[in-house]
Amino acid sequence: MSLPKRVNKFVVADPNVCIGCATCMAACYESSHKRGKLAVPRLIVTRSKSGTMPNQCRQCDDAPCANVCPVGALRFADDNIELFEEICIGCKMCTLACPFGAIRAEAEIMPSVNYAMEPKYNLAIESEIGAKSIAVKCDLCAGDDNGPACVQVCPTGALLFIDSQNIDYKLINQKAEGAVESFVNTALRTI
Amino acid sequence: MTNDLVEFATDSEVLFLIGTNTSECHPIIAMQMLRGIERGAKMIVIDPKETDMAKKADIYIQTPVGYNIPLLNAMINHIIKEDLFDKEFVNNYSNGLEYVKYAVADFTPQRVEKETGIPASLVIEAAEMYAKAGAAAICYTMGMTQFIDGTSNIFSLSNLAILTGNLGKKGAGVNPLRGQNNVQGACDMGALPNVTSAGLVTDAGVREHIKSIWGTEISSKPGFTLTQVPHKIEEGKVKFLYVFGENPVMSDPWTEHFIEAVEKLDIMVVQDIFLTETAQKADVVLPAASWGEKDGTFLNTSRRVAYVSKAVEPAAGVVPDWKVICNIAQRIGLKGFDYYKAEEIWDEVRKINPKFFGGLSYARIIKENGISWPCPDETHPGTPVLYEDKKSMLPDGKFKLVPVIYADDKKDRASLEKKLIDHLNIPSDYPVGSGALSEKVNELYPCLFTTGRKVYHYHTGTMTRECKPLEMGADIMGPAIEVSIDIAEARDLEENCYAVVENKRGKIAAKVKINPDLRHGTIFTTFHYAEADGNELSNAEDTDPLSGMNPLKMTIAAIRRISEEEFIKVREETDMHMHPSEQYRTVRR
Repeated sequence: MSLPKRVNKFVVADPNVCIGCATCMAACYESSHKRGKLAVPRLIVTRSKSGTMPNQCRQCDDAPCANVCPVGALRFADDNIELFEEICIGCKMCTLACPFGAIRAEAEIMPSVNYAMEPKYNLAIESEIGAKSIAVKCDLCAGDDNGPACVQVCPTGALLFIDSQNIDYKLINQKAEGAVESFVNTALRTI
Repeated sequence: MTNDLVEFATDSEVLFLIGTNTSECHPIIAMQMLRGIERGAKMIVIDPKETDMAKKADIYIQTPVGYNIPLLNAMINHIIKEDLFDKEFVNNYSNGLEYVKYAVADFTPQRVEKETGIPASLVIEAAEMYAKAGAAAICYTMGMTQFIDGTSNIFSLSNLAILTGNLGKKGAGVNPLRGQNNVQGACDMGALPNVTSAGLVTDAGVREHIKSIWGTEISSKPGFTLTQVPHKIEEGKVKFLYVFGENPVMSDPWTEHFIEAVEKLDIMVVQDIFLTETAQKADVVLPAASWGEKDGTFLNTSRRVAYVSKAVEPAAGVVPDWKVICNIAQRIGLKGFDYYKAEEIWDEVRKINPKFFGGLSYARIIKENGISWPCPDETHPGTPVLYEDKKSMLPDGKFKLVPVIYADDKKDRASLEKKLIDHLNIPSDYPVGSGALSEKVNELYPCLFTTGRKVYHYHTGTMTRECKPLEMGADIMGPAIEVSIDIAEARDLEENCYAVVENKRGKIAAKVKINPDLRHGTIFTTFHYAEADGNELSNAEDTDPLSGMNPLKMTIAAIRRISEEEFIKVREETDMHMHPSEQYRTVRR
């Protein structure tokens, strides 16, 4: 008996190529809206001291968020971590558990709100107007045959969609070759 | 731009970025630059904010806001002193080396270090990297021009390029990255107070040429600059204002002053695709077709004329801007506004300025997918690189090296310039530049305040804030006041707390974002959001003596933390004060 080869699919960005244009966030909003999910972006372009790239769910194989979810809204699926928005109770346990800051509680804004007072930026933790906030994380655009919208729209090709088929040549082989080369060229010669 | 933006990817050996946040404001150009860096180009970035491009740069120099001329002069000084300049180019194709030599003598990298703390070695390294490159491109934007010494800043940049012979070759040049897809076009079409598309209105030959085509005499008097308008309204010299495709209530400095001024107008007409903050103040609002609903040409930053055809039909009864203007002109009874389609207008432009546009027929532009001017005839291939023959557009065909000096007090600029002219016996028609700070921080307003863009929104947000994926998707932060770490620590500001920034012109309140990329003592905010528009505080009194530009990128301000109740109060007060008649609210407000 052999175990099935199981690596979760995930989206990740290359900070050397990313120009921080946030087109991915706009596409993410549009995709979630279109698929009837909570219309908020699921990846956030994060600007740090050392560089800029979008940050999103890594779909960890042994995901802390799915392990900690008290109601089973976050579940281990075949090749990703699934979120069932309708049963999420907004307890924020997943936000605490996530080591990447890639899952957060959000609510959609109400059409009746006076936006000049910007409550839409206030909804994250608790809402003044009683909208229930729920966990939001990358769902790899489940339901869209074309795959993750962010990867499709990225103008510089900084976002990669990795699955068990392409993980070797997209992420590993080149670096492995480089490591071997540097070992042969430098480390071996200096021994 | 003297060169084409694609050359950053293919030819530039050094990219010299100053006063530009390229990846946020010009993502496509940034993409070309990153391709260049991948190819092996080096990058120098000079900016008060450590932008994404600065993080990718080989050399990054963090200047105080407005400290450009002393730094550039120090670099020029080092290049001359170390004999790094292109003697062949300077001797054969330029004038004024001795003027510049004298003007930069006092500016040394050591002086820069003493005044700002920027290491002299870093200034030297940048100067040498730029001077020794085969093809080095200077790129700049509003971080150079929107100061009271903006023109002189650009003199300094052109001095650098001329001295090092970085003109007339691929991947080099002096490249202003234009903020809109058609700024270059608007200027070329004569949408400036002193020019027509054929040249200066003060030039009798130009007026004669235009008369031969239009059949009417045009005025030889330059009009008012945009920045003069609110003052001229107050003086009663402007009674009628026709604004189209612009939102000056938000984009002009000192909002409160502008709003009070337009109240004094007899009539204001605004023509736009949305009911902008300015349109809400207008007496008459005219609708117009948007860019996707009309045919025409755009003339981009690379001087490239490209054709755009409409994607959708405009709503019933809505016509392109040019048609609206023609309709009004015909009602007034003016002759010559009987165009049938956009192409006819373009053909007239080609007749007015055949040297630049003569060979650019619609058929050719469409077939070749855009051509750069000058293109005098149908067989000319266009000119992506200007000055390849090493001849300038000035009458004598030579490039001018302009001496630029620096005053500690802005009042001394004219007298220092005069002293320089007398000392060097500079002819009266030779340009001379000078720099100074428009305002200096003081006890009352101890912080430098600058404005800029964020990648999510475009200018005053007229279009992008109506776009839900941008407003609610990409831009999850909304209006924010970005402060440097030392300001936050000194005033007990925390991330996401509320703060008010104020100076004598106004105040804005928003959430705080502590940004470690900002130089110490600097506050940054955007002009995208009507609810907290950085331009409410901008300086409208001082202007550049040559261009009339206000120092939009620099003023002084104070900041303090406020409670949520106070925040809402300030918001409501300023909102009521700025937009008292406002009934209209859309997704963005």
